[in-house]
Amino acid sequence: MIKQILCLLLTFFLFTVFPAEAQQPTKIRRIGYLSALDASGESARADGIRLALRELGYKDSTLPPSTDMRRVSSISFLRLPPNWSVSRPILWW
Amino acid sequence: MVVAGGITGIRAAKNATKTIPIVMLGISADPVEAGLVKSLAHPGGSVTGLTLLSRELGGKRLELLKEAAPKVARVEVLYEPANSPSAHEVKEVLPVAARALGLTMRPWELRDANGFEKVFAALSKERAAGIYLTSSALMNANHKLIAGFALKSRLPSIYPYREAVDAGGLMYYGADLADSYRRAATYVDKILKGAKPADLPVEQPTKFELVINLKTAKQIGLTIPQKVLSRADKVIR
Repeated sequence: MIKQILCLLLTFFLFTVFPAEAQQPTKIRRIGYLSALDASGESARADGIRLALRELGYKDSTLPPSTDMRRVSSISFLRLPPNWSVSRPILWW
Repeated sequence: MVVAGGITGIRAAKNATKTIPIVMLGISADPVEAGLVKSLAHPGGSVTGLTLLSRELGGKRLELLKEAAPKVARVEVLYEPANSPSAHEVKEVLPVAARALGLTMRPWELRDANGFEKVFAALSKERAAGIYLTSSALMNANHKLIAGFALKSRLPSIYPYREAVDAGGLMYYGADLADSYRRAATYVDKILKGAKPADLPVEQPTKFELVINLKTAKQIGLTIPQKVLSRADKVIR
């Protein structure tokens, strides 16, 4: 009986003290890539950085989320400043 | 977070936000002179990242062009005068290197994309022998056009853009871009882990690469000396 009570208390303690960790959603970071360079040539550079981020353990948000995903990079869009005048200036992921 | 390439992109990002961290890369200008950071060791704001040291490599590029195409005695330098690093390269860096190499250099100003046709026509008329491209947003946006002209006119050419060699340009010498990507990603990683851009020193490239398009060399009738080819990190065949 004492064992059962202790077990119940321990379970109660675990779920009340660490509830946030159990339900914490995967953290998603947004990274924008901004360039004034030619979009076709620039895509290789953007892909290079994305690949390097993958090597560091980041995953694209375009991939289906998984429970073992510790860190995630995802797509973001940033508004261009009003004085931005280059015709094909940006490539985002 | 914003990863921004080239001074125009970095300035636009910096003007748009004071709080979102900006990781810069692909910048030829001195970021302190350009007002992007307070100092290389302590950027002091929301911007940090990597420089290209591109203008400092001008002498080396001229030297490589001369070694690859020894018959070239005059080099046509295309640059955008409004781009201060390019203007500095043309006025301060290249003349010294050209003199040392026994080359004559002739600068051609390009203020917008409409100017290329006129400059190309003049270069054809003047019997250009070799082309040197400086770095700026205008030049990068038109690197394929320039590489195409050089190929069509059978002119040896050297670029500060790796992509220009894939587009038919003869040579690239500059920062190892794959290494730059890895290091830019490291900045992103550190900032996402809580580091402040203000405290992350700006880094300069430590690895450089020489890329030669041998297909282009054949098409323009140029035999690149073996001693130059052996120094290339990549040869496009």
